[in-house]
Amino acid sequence: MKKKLVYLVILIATIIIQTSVLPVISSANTAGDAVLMAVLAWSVLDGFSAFIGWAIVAGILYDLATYSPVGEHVIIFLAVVYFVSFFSRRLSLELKGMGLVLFFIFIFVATFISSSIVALMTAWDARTLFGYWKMFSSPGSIALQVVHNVILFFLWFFFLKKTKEFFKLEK
Amino acid sequence: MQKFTSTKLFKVVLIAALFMLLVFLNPASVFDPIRSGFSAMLLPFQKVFYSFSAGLEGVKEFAGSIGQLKRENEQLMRDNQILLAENAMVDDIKNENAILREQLSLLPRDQYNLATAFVVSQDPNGTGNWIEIDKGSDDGIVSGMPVIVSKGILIGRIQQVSDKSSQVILLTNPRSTINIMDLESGAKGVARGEYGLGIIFDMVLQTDSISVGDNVITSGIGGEIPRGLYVGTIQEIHQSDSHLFQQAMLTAPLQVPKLQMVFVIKNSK
Repeated sequence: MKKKLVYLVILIATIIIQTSVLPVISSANTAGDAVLMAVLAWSVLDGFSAFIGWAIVAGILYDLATYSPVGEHVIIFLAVVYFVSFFSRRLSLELKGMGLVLFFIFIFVATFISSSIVALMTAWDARTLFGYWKMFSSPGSIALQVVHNVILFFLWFFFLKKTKEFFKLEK
Repeated sequence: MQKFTSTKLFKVVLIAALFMLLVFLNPASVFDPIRSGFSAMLLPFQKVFYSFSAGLEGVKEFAGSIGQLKRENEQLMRDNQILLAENAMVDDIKNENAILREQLSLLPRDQYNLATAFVVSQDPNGTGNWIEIDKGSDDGIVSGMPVIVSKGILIGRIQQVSDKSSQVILLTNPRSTINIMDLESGAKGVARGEYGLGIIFDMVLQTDSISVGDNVITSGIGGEIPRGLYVGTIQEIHQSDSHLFQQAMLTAPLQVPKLQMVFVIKNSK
């Protein structure tokens, strides 16, 4: 019960930060994705089985708060959680002692998956394939988004780790 | 087969397929009441955080631009003198127009019943597609109402309405199309959003004349949006892909991501 309450409060606070703080203080088209990075950090800390339910809840709440069709961010978060679960075991064996590299790969792929799906949904909505490339944005702004996401990921990773320790939350 | 159904991949694909179906069906009637309740819960927090962030951004911008202020001040003084002269002329024309309208028994223009609203959140993808305001159906807001800032600068229109908040689709949103006209030549067309990157003045006939620097306003065609709201200035002109029409890129007069307060036109008086 305590875990559910703590996770829910953090999740809602993250959604508020994402919708009411980051777009205002970031330059256009390059705002990082705090909710995506929180989901990524959570799935690294908790693992697939413990976090998949929360990924669905996070996706639904995020969609409700951002006027997106319900399910859009659930699909993104599921893909990210599965990717982390699938590759963390395999890559950690090959890249032993290179946890940081693994994190950077996760952040890059999560940003890419998110941008691809959001652009696809917008292009579908506007009924134009041309819109997909417009929405997907330039390599430069994707790179800037990755940089923002790296900062957000490490902030959330250490914050969630400390929170779990503080409240003594098990997986 | 039994083994595959218990794999993580199977679970993810199954759940993703279910939600994909939900996305394409998009049952608004089911989710709108939930969305409305959730928005109402977030609203007070979003209001505080948005206002704090806007303030913080203002301080940051001010600190970064102190060096430019003197130069800008001199330029503004010069612009102000020109505007004062123009204003006197406009006042004269306004008086003349009022007299003529009175003689023709027409109602006065540009008098709107406005609802003041604060911006509480924005498109989180940073693409400037929408903003959320703290006024909803409880305040008489309905879908389709135009949203302006200061004296008649159009920024978008109401899309989704909850009890206490509403989503405003900005002019830069690809779903936004609004009837507009060139103020100088009277050439008509539509303003179409360019994926958060800008506004395109589209469907302008080849026979019509438009020039860089012309101001563009709403044409009032269709009746949903009143005539005369400022949309932008023509920055660049080119041909449409089919070469049937002319297209122009418009520059908007303000930075929507920095907005804190807007006005919803509930109806024209």
